[in-house]
Amino acid sequence: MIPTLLVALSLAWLYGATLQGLLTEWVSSADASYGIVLVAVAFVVVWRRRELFSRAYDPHDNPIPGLVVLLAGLGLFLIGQMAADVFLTRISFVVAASGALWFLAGARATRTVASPLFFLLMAIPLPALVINAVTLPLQLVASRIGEATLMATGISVFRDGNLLELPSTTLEIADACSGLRSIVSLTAIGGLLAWSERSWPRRLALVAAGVPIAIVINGLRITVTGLACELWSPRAAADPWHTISGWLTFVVSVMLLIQLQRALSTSKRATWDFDPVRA
Amino acid sequence: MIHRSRVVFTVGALAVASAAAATIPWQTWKPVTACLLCGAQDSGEAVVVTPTDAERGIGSGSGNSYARSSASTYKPDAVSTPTADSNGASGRSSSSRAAAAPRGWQPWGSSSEASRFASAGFSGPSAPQGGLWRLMSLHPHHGSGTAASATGHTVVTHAPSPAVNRPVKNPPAPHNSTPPSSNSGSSSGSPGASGTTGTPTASSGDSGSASGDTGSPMAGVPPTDPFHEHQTPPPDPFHGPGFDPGAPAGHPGSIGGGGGLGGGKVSAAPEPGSMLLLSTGVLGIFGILRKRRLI
Repeated sequence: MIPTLLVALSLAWLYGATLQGLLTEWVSSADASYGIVLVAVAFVVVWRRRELFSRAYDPHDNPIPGLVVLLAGLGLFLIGQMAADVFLTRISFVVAASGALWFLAGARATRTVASPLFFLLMAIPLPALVINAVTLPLQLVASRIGEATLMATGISVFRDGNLLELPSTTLEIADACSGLRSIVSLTAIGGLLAWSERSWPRRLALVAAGVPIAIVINGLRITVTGLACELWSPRAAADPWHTISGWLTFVVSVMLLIQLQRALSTSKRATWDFDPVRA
Repeated sequence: MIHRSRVVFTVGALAVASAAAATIPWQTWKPVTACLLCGAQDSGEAVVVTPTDAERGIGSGSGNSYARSSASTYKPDAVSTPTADSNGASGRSSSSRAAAAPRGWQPWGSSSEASRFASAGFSGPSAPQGGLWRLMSLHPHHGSGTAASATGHTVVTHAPSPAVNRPVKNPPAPHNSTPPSSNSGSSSGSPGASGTTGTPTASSGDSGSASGDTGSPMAGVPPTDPFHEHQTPPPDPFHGPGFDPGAPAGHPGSIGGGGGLGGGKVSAAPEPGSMLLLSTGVLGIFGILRKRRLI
């Protein structure tokens, strides 16, 4: 217990400022707040697998792979510090923690907590470079989908970039409407679902399927908003109706993802408590 | 034993990484001048004109040529001490006053006002030294050259400065003071009475321009300050009260109101927060898995 506490304290001391900044971003940014949920899920999974971890604990395992991962994580940390790259520094925390775990507890024990470590990795917000690069294309894609579907329903619409000119109002597909939040959240849910699968191709398919589903559903969400504006009132584009419609469309996305998992699962489905040691 | 050595090694590696990270030399970029307008450095300090600087700047007449001080050319050495210039250095105070600006050129700061007033107010014999400011000034000039005393020296009287830290932007004062008088307070040889009659205005500290303008329109907003025009935004003819060209007739309270491009307001369509979305999904998955008795 004391050695584990010592290593944990050392990690906390090294990554104190990094974790503090991460927590601040989770709390303050609506784009990154999903990280809190993922961390909570990771803790729940770790707690449920504590018995498996104890059984798989092997301090006499080959230390070389874990040592390599640990040193790679620390190297990433130093590179991130020198380059002032927040994303790299945050990523290095998960890598270093995984390496330390592997080095101290062995490969089998590390596998039991691989999914929480993966959730922690997903909880790290995307770097601003990526967000800035994908936001505008996502906005335009969502605008095009909304334009096409609105025209298919017989409503005249004129798209000017990311603006949809409707007879009664103008819808702006702003940065926050790009669908990036849905993509990130749905991908995370795909990751959660994937861990109940045993096949790696199915896991990857579930994680990757979150992206197109989120993009299409976000375009349809804009369509629904435009329809509501025309048929009901432009007030439909304001809260609380708009938040409710966004939430409902995301629920539809999750149901689609679950249906996809059902379609892909042909063999006996695993549970989150399956024993990866025996698997 | 192996486990303990691994723990020691891990803690040691983390400590080495911490030490290495601590020795990384951080270099922070510090601009020479953070604000081009006020010249304030990025240290957050306010632009402060001390009475001593003002007095030294206005009272001195040692400027050889008008040097418009900019943020990058200001040198404290340019501030000279008041000296008795027998060459009739009236009006040269503009250069020295400008040089007394602590942070260089300030378009609406007190020092620039002082420069204008000084040059416009009593720069008669030294037009080349303050002529540009004089031509740019919309303020009626008061008795050029009359500020020179009998001895030929520039005699400047300062109003009592109420505060050391003056506001950078002078608030407009109501024009309820006495009407402007031509040559009012031109202080022809009697500077002692100038600038001491009224309440201290925003420019009172600078009104040591020997003009004694208290009570004139210059007591409030200097009319020569072109930057005050921007304090009041121009009226928007398209968004006046009760006029919304984009609002459709059938939706009086509509949020978006654009009938055409650029008309009316635009409704953004943001997504809900990612935490709400993911929480929904996680709860749904937990519910489904529990229903299937998988967890």
